[in-house]
Amino acid sequence: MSALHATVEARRLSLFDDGGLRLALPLDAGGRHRLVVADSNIAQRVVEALERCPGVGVLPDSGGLLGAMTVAENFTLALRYDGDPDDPRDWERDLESALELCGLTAERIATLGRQQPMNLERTERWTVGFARYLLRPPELLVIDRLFAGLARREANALIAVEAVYHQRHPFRPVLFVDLDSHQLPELPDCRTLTELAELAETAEAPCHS
Amino acid sequence: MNAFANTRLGAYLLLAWFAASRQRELRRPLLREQLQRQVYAAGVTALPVIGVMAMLTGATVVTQLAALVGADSDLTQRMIFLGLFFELAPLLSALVVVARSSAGIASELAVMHVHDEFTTLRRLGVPAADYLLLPRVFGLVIALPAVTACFQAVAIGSGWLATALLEHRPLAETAGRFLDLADPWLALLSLVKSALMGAAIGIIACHHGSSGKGSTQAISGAAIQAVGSGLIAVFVVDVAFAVLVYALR
Repeated sequence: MSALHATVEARRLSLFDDGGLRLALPLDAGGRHRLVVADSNIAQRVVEALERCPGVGVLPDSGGLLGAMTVAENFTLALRYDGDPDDPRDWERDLESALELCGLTAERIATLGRQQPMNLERTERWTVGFARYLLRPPELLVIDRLFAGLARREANALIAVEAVYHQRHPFRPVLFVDLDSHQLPELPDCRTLTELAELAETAEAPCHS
Repeated sequence: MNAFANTRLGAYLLLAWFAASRQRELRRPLLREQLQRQVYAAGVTALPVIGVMAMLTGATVVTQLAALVGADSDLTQRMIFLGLFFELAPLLSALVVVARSSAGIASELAVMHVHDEFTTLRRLGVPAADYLLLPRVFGLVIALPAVTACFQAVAIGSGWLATALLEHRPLAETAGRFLDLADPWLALLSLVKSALMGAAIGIIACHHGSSGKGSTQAISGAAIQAVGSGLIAVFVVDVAFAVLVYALR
């Protein structure tokens, strides 16, 4: 496969390889988009190319949290590293609200902060990683291979959690990068479906569902 | 230039330049917190070992010198100052820190590398090099002189006490004689030497921890290389300062 690179111009993200344009996404129209790739190697390269663009956030299936830190320390790092130390915004309260929106109970939220990500269930770990993007949404959120190895019930639960993002940030798009699988769950209201083999022709095609 | 950067020494120097040029980042509250953790881990937790070593070394060296040259000799006091205070204290403190912290830092970073946590940090919006390397390098730059100062104080104190007990001299007299002959500039230079040794240990440990191949075998390899190269660097700095002092005299 040829080298991939992505650019952002005029509020539009484009992904190219040597053969030309492979994917084009508007960054100001929100909605769900899906890119289906043939294997993990291609998925990895696509995600790497996309995340080199400014404003692109990547959420892997593990939730993208540091294993040696507690959940609270992960949040502190992600939300406060670049922040103004005198910022009066109550991140803790905002975070609790975000986790509540993601369907976690108040009792669970109260104990979650002290736990390490590796001690959480996979879906919960992903939900925690997702919650920080609710508070700091990127221009484009790339959800990397979320459904690989998930039961249908779990996959549907996470799709429901992801819907919160579109309610909170209606103009911020989300791109699901998924492996081509016969078990791939349907994405409701998916605006575009792109398959790697025919990217240039179907970049703006409506989602088959 | 590129060929030199690819050598081990070149990589150490590049990392040293990076750390020096980015040290302002340590003003960030989260990095300051990490720095305090490193100072605690490398300095405060090493104090019990340092304390015992310093007490035993000080008592041994001073009583041996007193037996050999005589406790009331100026030469004995000069040898205690140059040999124990200026040479042994920074060197032994550095060896303890290499043994405890160097392998720890290198293996911790190598484990993070294996789990691709450098990428995770970047995705959290945190520059991995700033967050991981700066507090570790500067933590050792601060911790090692502090540990050395403690070593010096305990070693000299136990030496005075040993002399006072063995020779039946007043403690104040032994201490006063030593302080009369001590050179404050050399005392300061010993702490500068420790800071440089701390920087070298930190840079070497961070380099080996973060530049491995990202496999489980690389974790033990990183720790071994960090300790080996760290020991050599400590002795190189020590010899350089010995030559400097000799030249200045």
